[in-house]
Amino acid sequence: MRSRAIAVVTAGLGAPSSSRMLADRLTESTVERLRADAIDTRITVIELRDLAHDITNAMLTGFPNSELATAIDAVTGADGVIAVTPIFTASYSGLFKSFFDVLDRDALDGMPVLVGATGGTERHSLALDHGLRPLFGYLRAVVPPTTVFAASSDWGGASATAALGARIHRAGAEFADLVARSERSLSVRDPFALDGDFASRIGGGVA
Amino acid sequence: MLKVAVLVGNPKPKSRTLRVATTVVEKLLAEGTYELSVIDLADHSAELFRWPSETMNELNELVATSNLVIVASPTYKATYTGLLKSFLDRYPHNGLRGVTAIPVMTGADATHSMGVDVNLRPLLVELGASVPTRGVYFIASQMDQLDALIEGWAEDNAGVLHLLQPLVDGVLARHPEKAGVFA
Repeated sequence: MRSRAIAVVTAGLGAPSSSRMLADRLTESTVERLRADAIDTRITVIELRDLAHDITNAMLTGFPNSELATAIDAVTGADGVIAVTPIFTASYSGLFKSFFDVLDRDALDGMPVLVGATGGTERHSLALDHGLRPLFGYLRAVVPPTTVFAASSDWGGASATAALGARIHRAGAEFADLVARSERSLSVRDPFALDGDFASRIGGGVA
Repeated sequence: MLKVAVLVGNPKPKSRTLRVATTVVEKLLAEGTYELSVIDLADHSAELFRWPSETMNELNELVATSNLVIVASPTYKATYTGLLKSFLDRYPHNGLRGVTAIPVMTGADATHSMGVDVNLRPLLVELGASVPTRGVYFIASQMDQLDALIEGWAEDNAGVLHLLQPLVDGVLARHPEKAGVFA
């Protein structure tokens, strides 16, 4: 069975947060679609809340500590990224932006990125297309046509939850198709790996 | 005496972005007419994600009670920094109401010139600030022409601010109760 790695980045502040809830729903929908295509998934969830101080330190020093480096490796080495932020002041949260600020500018080149956002009301839904899409465009990531905004009212009431569910389903399907074709995780190279046969490099070699 | 604040969201302290922002104040206002506070967020990053934080509350308050705020950021990933956004995220809805703001962004070249008015301005407007002038986009390699370039910006935009005066007079004649409403 083929296998794909997906990193889920969420910037919710509460525990549990609605951003995490939306991220889980998007993940579920993606995994289901990939499974139907006989593709197995490996999921890594990164809650930026737990890394806030590491991210600030990395911004100042230019170097991530080991916890943050592990998270960054999971993101840059994935076949696809699901990124969900709460909307503050009509845009992504400062924590969300700070995490992408510390990535190298080429780190997400060609990466499928499914974007989602949560807010108290639907008033700031356009933040996805005005804020998140240009950010990932700059990073040369591939953002599928469907993005998902979930307002508080979308989580309750039959018709609202059905509408959100349909959108999640569509977004998951578009994203899964991109992930299925992505082979990034196969091409990630361990920077400490030795090329070729080590013995031959030191002049020995096995006779 | 005008209360003026310079807010800089550059992770590097004492940055060129900070110098551009303070130069905007110097070129726009006459010396001795204002009291200037400078907030270099690089100095306060340890508190940024701490709630509650007395230091952050004081800084938030300082900016929100200023007459004029220069909000400055370098260009990171085509827009303002997460550092600046994290500070602004601490404001409630309309947290900068009653403040006049001038957005300033610095960048490596002209390709991101629109960023200051496309990304930073709407953020300040959403927070309730009034943003009457064009933003300042400054190309970092032009630091040797800093004085002349900002002088030019100030001349253009002093004219824009002057345009507001008859409007202010008209509005206050219609709504006299609004005089000094934010004072």
